[in-house]
Amino acid sequence: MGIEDTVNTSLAKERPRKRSGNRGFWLTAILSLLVHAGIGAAALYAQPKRQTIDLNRAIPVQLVKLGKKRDPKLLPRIYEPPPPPKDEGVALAKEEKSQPTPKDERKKSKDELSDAAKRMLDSDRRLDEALRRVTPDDPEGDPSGSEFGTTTDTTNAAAGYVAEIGRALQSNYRLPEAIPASQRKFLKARVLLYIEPNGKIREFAFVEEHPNQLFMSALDSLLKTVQLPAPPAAEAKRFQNDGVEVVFRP
Amino acid sequence: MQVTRIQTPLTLALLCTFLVSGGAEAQTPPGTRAVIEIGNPDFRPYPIATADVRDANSPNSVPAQAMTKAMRYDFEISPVFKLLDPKSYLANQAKEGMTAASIKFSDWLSVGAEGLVKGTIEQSGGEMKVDLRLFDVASGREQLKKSYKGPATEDEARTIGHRFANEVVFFLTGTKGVFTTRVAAVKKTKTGRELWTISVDGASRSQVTKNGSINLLPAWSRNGKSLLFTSYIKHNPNLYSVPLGGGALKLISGERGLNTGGSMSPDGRKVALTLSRDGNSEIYVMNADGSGLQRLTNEWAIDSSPSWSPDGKRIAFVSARWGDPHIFVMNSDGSGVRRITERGNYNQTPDWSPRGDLIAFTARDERNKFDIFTVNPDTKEIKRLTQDQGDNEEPSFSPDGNHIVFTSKRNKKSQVFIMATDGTHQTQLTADGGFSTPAWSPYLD
Repeated sequence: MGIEDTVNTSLAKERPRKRSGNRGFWLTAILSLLVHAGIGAAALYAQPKRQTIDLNRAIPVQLVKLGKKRDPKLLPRIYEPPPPPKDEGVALAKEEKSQPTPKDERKKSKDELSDAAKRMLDSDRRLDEALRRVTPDDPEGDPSGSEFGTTTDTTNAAAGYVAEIGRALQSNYRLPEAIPASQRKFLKARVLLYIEPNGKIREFAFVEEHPNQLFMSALDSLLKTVQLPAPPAAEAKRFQNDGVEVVFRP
Repeated sequence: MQVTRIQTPLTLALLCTFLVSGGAEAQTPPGTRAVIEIGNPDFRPYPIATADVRDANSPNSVPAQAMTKAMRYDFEISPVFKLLDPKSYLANQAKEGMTAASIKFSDWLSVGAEGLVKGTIEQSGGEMKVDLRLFDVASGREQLKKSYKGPATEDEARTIGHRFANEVVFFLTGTKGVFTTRVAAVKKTKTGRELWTISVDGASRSQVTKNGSINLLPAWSRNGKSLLFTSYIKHNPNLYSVPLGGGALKLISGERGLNTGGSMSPDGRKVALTLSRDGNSEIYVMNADGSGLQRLTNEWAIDSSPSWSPDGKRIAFVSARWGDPHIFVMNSDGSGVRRITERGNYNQTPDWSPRGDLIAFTARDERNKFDIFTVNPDTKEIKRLTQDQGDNEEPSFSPDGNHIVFTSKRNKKSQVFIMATDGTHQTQLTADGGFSTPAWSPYLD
């Protein structure tokens, strides 16, 4: 075998390998294009390119106050306590109309009281004395909160899916004009909604109805037509079985 | 206003990451049901104007003034109304009559009124005839008209005013008003404690016991004609019943030890109470006449302060079986005990709302202050109603479930207050102090 034969043989061996490399490259490129096109199409289908935000629709949020985390075992505190009563609101009672004393009752001085009664009075006095004023603790909140926050309760900071339901119902909550204005302030109904994993209301049941039929039929119509967002997968079973309670007010 | 935002690939990628990672965490614990309130965000209480009641004989007669004051007080304490300030009224009330045609509704509309109450009194021979009406200001229509007769006294005028306010509440809300109900309470005396009843406006009181002993923990019978209470009159703290029209005490339970916290079932047939006849405080149920005693709890710790649910199927009570006193609920046969309060370490004096959805109770907070709270017996959600105004204790619901009576030491002496069930509209009923354990009556008419 000469040198030429050896070269031809090696070329003949290399040629098919080169063709195979080109085909792999094009297959990869086409597959990549298809995958990208598919992702693009799916994204276009799933998400509109232009999303409008209605700034008039307020989304309630609560800033978590900066401070020491409140122990969840403690009783809740009010951050806007009700104002003290007005002085003129006090109606002073006059003593009047004592009822006749029953025959078997007689007046007694403290000395005549039984030992049990005296013990009761003494324990009451001791309890009064025991109540002492305690200086307020450090400001409570969350270590990662904001100094402008208004609440210490981080569990209320986001309403999540429940808030989405609220927004969906709120935006469809319309009542007929025929309901007299004087009655509108007092309309109230409570209803349990059971929601399927796709957001459809599977069933609803009123637990408190209002005698106004116009109001009730409007709610009936709303709940039969409204489409709610799908619950988070992890919570779907809960909303399907336990449901959610909705209170409709004026 | 609307703003358009372009969806960028970055936000899309972030969205995908969010979805893959499982999304948001649950905001409410498993087993509890979320509650959503849907309503008009600019909801306001019903603005109502109450014109001065006019007396045909004397424009400023005592009955006319008392009636006007009573109705204004009722609308003031009610959370569903906003009483418009009488000083703001523009209408010439002296010229206006009682018919829709004689009323210049534009004057009432301009001060923001949606409802208008007007009334007249005609006195003759110590008697009075009263005409009271409610108008819808926007439409200028008469909605409600009631006539009353009675002695021309201040008390009677006040009662008629409250009765008409009840009618207005019922017409607009479908729920009976509570303005003619009363509150029973204990008042400290030099030698002990006596029972009194007080009108909801605080304007009249009536002493129920006058025995010089210690009388405690009044509870109303279901018909409102008698009170159950504990008295030391026979040295042992026994449970008695006293008729409010006057009459002898009737012994209901005289077991050895404590006989306290008597609470009548909604059908009036049973009484739940606390007895310590075996050494430890336990909850018992008996027939209303004291027969058929049945023990419901049997624990090493103290069980006390029973309060019936409005359907009579359950009883709320205080128990220290888990260490600190907390609110528990059990079936009325003693089965199915469930702890309701998980927060705080000193919760007591439960009172179950007539609506069934809330239990009010007293709790001592981490600052050693006593305040009023409510807990939903199903969701266990706790709401605070009072705070930073002295010690507030011993809540009791009104029969419509819209108000709570309680005692407060915010002015040092222990006074009786009422408030709406959301903690607003707090109003003081007494001024001389020494009151405790108020109990709101059922409907009395």
